[in-house]
Amino acid sequence: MSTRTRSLPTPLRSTLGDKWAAALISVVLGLAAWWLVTVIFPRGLFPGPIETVNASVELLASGIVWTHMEATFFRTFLGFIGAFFVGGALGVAMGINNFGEHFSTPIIIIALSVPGIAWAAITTIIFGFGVVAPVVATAVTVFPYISLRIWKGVEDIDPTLIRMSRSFGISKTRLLRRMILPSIAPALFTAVRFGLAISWKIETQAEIFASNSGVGYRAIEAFSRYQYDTAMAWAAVFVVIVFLLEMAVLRPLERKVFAYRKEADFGVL
Amino acid sequence: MASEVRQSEQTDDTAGVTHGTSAAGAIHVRNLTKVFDTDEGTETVFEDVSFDIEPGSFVTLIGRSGSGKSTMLNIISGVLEPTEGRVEFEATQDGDVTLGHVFQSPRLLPWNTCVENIEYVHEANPDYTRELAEEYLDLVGLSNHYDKYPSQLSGGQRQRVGITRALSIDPEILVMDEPFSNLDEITAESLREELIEIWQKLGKTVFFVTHDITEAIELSDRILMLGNGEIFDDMSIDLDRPRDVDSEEFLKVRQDAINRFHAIK
Repeated sequence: MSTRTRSLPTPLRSTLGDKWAAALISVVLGLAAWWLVTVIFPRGLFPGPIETVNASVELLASGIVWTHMEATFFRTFLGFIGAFFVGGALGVAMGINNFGEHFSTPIIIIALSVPGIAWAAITTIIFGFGVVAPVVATAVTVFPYISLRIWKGVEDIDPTLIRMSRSFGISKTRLLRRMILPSIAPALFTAVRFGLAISWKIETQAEIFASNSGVGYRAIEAFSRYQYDTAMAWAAVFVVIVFLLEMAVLRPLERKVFAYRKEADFGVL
Repeated sequence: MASEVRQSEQTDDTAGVTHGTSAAGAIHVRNLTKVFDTDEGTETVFEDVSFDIEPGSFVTLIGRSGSGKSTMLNIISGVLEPTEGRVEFEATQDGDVTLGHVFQSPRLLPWNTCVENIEYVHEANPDYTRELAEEYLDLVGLSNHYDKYPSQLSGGQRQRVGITRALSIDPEILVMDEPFSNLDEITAESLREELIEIWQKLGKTVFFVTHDITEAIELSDRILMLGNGEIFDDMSIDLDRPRDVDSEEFLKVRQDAINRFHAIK
């Protein structure tokens, strides 16, 4: 089980202070670094935090943002779902037997080493402009990460708990629901979190080649017109939405699923 | 207090297992042989081993590590198939024999509370209620821990839940595989005392495996010694209960048992 927490012992931890304060400091430091970069490099060329916020407000007010956001979300989600099922199946195969492991390993090593941008180019050549190319590019780039995580999750299932269940005559469905699923839940959460994050990156890259809509497409379009603040705003708005998704959906769900853990550690990773 | 419905862990299609109708809880081991295939050929763990266990008795199998006592336990509990021979159980009138398993480690679901861990093994029991789980937890002194997770319990408390889980399905036979060997001696001792109290109250057949001679004498009516592929000694322990491990009679029996145990290399 990968539920071990890697936290430092309490005395050292407490000197780091309240977790919200720590998070706030990291955000402030990040914004300061960003601002510093805009000061060092030629003024006006690279937009700072304030210009980006202004451009974001404009973008939101124009209403155009939602259609492209929806397109990107939809394709990211489809690509992720594809990656999750293919990657999950390979991961389970790797976890449960040697054949599965030896069968899947070369596929995953090769898939991991091909850059996402190459997949975007390849799928555009194959499928042309439209929805399919970026979705497929996303799915094939992301599935090996999911496989690796699920593989470890399946390997970490405690075989003595399976034997215990057999001794008490537990049915396969109950075993799956009450023992296997909770056991791989931490791996599933990590797979979903990483999977979505990488999917979004690949999807926006793929839009550059393969689409005439979406956040990535609009950002690169704004960039090529020297509208750097608008390009940054496209990214910033998306980041905020992903952050809200994390706080409003993933975290509460995780808190509920892992309520049994003694020392709850709901870090990002 | 116990539920009427039994889970059929030992099914009729299991090779070498049959059901009788009298003396529920008796175990008859008939001419058991177990041979494992290894890289260097075959290895016989034991050959043509037979013994009978009286219903309601507390019988302990002792042996050195590698003597095959776990293999024997696994065959009796139906996890392993014997190469030859059979294990017969005498069933209750409804024709079922239920075995309750207690393992070396508690094997609790970490994401389930004490009550939920007990509920887990009552899948086939339509009469299961939360009260049943609570009654059994009361029996081992865990009244204040119904809704705690295993991580919130001590090692001894966890093993108590493991024992409770096995008892809760109201088995005729309790099969215990070195259940106290991972605990500190003080905790282990209090669990042994509790186990004997419960056993006297509920009247189950107990088949217990250990490598600890003192533990075996403290608990058992009878000790079977396994070594060199056979049961080389079968010793009755006639000490009164509760047993005082420091008493003179106990130490005498213990010395006798040690001598008999070391009679074989």
